[in-house]
Amino acid sequence: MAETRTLPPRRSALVSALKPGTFGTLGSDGPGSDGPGVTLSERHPMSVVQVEGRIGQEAALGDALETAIGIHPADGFNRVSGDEDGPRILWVGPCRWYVAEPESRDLYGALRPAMGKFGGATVDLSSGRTVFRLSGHDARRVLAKGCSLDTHSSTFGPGACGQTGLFHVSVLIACVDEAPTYEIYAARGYALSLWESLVDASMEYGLRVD
Amino acid sequence: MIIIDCPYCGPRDHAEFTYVGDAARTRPAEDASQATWFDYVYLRDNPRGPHLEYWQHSSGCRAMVKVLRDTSSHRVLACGLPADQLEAEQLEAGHLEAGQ
Amino acid sequence: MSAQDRRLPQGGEVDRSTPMRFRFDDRDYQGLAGDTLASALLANDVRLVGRSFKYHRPRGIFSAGPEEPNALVELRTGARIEPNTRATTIELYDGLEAASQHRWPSLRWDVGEVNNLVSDFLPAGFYYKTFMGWPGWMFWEHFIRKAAGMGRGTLDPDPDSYDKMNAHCDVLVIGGGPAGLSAALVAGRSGARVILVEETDGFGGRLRGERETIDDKPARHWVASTLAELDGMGDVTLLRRTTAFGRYDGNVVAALERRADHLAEPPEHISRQRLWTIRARRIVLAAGGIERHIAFADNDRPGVMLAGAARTYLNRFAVQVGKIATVFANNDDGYRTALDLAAGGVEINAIVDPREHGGTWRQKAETAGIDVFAGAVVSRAHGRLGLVGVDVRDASGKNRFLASDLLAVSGGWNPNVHLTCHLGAKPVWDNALATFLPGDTGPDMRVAGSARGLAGLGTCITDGYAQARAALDDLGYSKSALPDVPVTDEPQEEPVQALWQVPGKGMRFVDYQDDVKVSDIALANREGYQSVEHLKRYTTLGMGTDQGKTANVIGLAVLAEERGLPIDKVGTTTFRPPYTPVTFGAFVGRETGLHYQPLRRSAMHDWHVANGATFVNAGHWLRPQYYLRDGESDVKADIDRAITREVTETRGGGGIVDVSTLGKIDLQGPDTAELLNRLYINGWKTLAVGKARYGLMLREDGHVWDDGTTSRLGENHYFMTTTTANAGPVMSHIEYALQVLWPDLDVKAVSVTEHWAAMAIAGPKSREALAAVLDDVDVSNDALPFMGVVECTLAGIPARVFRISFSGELAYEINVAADCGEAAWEHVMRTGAPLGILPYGTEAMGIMRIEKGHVAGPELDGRTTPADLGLGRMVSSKKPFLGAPMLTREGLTDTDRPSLVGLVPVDGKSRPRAGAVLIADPKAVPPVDKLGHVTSSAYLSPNLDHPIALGLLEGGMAREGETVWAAFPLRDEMIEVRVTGPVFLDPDGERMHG
Repeated sequence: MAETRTLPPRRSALVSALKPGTFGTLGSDGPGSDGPGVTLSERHPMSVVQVEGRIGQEAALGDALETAIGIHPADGFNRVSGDEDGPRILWVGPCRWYVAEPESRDLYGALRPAMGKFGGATVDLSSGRTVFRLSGHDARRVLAKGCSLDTHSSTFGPGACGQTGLFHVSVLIACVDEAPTYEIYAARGYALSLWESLVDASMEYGLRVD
Repeated sequence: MIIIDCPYCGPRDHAEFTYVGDAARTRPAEDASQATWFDYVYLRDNPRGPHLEYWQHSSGCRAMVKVLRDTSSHRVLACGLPADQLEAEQLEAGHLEAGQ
Repeated sequence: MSAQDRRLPQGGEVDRSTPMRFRFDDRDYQGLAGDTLASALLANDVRLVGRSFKYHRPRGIFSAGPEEPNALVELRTGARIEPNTRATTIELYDGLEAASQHRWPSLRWDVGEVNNLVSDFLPAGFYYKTFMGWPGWMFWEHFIRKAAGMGRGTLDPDPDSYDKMNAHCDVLVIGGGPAGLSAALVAGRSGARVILVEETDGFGGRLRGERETIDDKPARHWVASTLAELDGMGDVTLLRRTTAFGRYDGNVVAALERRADHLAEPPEHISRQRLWTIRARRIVLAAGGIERHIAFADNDRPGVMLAGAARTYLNRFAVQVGKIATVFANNDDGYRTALDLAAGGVEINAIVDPREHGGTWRQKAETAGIDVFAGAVVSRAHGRLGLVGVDVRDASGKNRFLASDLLAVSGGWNPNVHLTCHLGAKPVWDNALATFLPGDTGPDMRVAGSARGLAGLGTCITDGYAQARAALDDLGYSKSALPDVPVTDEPQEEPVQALWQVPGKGMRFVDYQDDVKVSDIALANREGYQSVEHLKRYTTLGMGTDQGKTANVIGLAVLAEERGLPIDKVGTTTFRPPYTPVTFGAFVGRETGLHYQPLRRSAMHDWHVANGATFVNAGHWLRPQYYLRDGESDVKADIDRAITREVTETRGGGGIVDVSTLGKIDLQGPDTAELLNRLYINGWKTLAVGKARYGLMLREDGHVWDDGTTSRLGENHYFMTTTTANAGPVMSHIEYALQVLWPDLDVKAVSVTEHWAAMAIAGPKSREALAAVLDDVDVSNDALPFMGVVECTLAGIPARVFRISFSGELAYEINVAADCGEAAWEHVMRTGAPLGILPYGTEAMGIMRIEKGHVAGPELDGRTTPADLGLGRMVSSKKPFLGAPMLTREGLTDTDRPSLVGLVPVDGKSRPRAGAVLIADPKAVPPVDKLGHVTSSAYLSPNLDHPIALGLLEGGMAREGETVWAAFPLRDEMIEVRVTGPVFLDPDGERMHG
């Protein structure tokens, strides 16, 4: 069994900026509506652990993950398995995935022995990534302002993820549902800058911050 | 904008990539002559036409992508992984002429 | 307020129920919703709208679109003023203010018009010939610009915001006219993702200004029903007021969407303009055609207008631009103009047609009672501030005067090939059509309709279908039935007869915007500027903001005539992005002010802010530079006091610094030690678990690249640190090594810079402090020796502690997960308070590392070797490593190379500046032999009480005790410095190892 670490309290990178409320031009999502076009929030605290094997070890790594946390990586590149409330596995590179979930246990501690069995690497990035949740009718337009990834539903629907630049910050974006809702993983140090850019870009559509 | 077809992520803007260098050269053996090392470190062919180069998908999957690019038109003729033999395949398929 | 007495009581796309007030040159007018500024001015019979650039000739509105060369105005006022804006594309809004340009003191009385009288002295190349000699162009330019005028800008900040959008599509259709709409319809029906961009505020293209029918109904019905269908398709994006201005590599098109230019001010949160970057798999270019004029004497008189434009003003805007019109056309489209004008109540003097023979169109005109002067030309226009009549010369050479206030000119149509040229394709001359057609644009771009020289509405619509179908075939979209070909009412057209110029006395303008005349082209040719490219630069033909949309082809044709060659032997024309001018604001987008660049903050940032830190940028990072206390402000004396305090108290007791910005790389795998051996110059196979080692990396060329410590955390687990600046490059370098150079090595490398917050506690009391902050950890010298590593907890927070030192003091680096960084830092501050632990910034850190002779960025400048830096003994001879083969070459092993020394001012107080050149003789006359340079400098070493510096000096330590001079000529500084060892403090490292 993995040793269980106690989880110390964690401070979000957005403490100074995140103010719930509604902002900008409301009612932009169609006639008769007075709602915001997008909602923006932070998922915190999140556990984010990178697991990596040698190219060719994909199957072994997938089986080990399934044993450890009950889900298997999705087939193919740039895909996500799992769901928003439990653990999910996001492809980030050749034989390399993020395992992420709302923090509830020592995920790193749980994964490390599983990976160790075949020489895989486990690296805790929980504090290194700030996870944004951007959702709503105009979410795709907000992304389009700062990101060249093609987020059209035919190529980037639920289950898809991709790494790209968003307002000049490197990010991993995953499509969660058809609202559409996106989860955005960004380096913690850039989180405040990215937050400010997302808020600014959302104002014309009306924004609710949760 | 050059569009580079990452073998993992598909076509992406070159802004997601970082140019790494000439992919046509091979690192000499450690005990190779000083002249060989000098060539490797300093001399580049700078061809007009197809050129093999590495671009890292630095804002993406971090893969080193081997790109065959026509320096006269900026047309990307082929993309692959470092171990792939892009040039030979493309020359055989006659893609180079079509790209020029 | 003047009445719109040129406005017809009915017809057009204008909304008579919505009047719009506007002001032009301090006079108030009224127009209608749906007007452009040009149509509103014409409705008010304002014919004179500007002065020409060089001769200050009175000019009027010449076109009805973006090709306008004359009617350039200053739009808006104050911070929103925008010069050189085309009145023909400005949508009228209530309260609009605009002013004419290039005139002083007024449009009607302009002193610059004297240039017109002395025009013989202002020929092509005049500026080059006259002003390039003494005292040079730079001197004269100021006066010439003032006289010429280019409209006024503003120095005030732009109050509006701009934005960018990224888009992807299967088929991008450029142009919302008949061919573009039909192409979009076919593409949309196939299920493809389509973007249709249209430059104006509405779709229909030239149909907006025509009286044609489609399927026996006015053409606008076809436009409306096509648009309705497109609007209902989920994957079709319709962009109005959007100009595709450039095509770039990768079939990427840049387009400018003017979201709020048609309003007085943008609504809140709405950007004025958006720059679209559209990645299209296929492009259908349906950009239509641009009519050209004919160069005859005084052809620039206000009232001389492109024939199609006169028709547009009548049909779309219900404005009669003249009461008595003459039409001068070498093609049948001019007849359409004459017939429409006649139907709109304009009296038609005659159609002047150089062609002897006519066809169906001529019969129609004659049936309508319009005189046709076959084989005749217009040889001169009369009327300085507005046309009063034209001279018509018939086939026998006889002239007659026709009183006219409008001359509608058509010299034929040029396909709008602008965007076909951007990737290098050259337009191709077509003799039968007497025009340039698009060159080979490759399969990614197809050209449809009149943009490729087709004539006739039905033909263009059918071509739109066909080009879209061909693009869809390329993309693998299954074939579907094409829409029915609509029934149009189009008489057969007779061919155009090329006519570029009409001989005659007076100025015969080719390029209105640049005041280039037929005689200028003839002169350029005589003076040897026979290549088109030379011609353009010598005469400035096509060099205006309109890029010669109406002028280039005529200019080329006139040159061909001068040289007695066919046009295709003289050259071709080309266009470069942007198609129409784009404001800088659109390229800047949101990246201004707060969003200029992303900023990177450490986990302790908020604490630093709350505790008086002043920040310095290190790449994107914000780092505390120093901390001011209550009562201190950001003035030099207070800053110096703060920095000195931080150094003194750290060396005397203890300090803490945020080092989160250092690059951190997690390395795992059985071959990690081997990888480190190949990356670093020193050996790594003997590093024990729980130990750290300092390493130095070279580039392949043998020069030092980066340094840092790497620790062994487990059997196959290492943790590398890099400098802040090289964190990204070193990570990429490792990935290159693992993916390209040595793919057989089993190492997984992950950047963990962001996961770990890092702080260094330094100073004689740091061990005591550390013992207090960690949870039950033995931190004695035996348990945690120099270069030891321990994993532990700090107030319950998991931590890694490394006993390494940059300051030269007894020091420890503590890493905790970044989300716990601020809590850990506060815990250290609280627990360390009784010991006097205080925070220090990068300035104090810099002074302390200079005191210790530790090298950093200024010494690792890409030109130094390990030996230059006094680190030659680290180089392993037992193993290969990156850079080793080149390190042994002659130039890098030369013992005369500058190497690291310490420098102190002989006077004990002058500060040698970083970058100062080291020389032997302060009185030597330049050029002076350079012995080296000062790399880093501290204004004061609080521990030595005088300035100190590090430098790279020829001979290095062999010169110890000698004096040299630090020269900084830009500031006229010359400081005598004594050469010392680079370690100023504690040379045996007793503090660090204690």
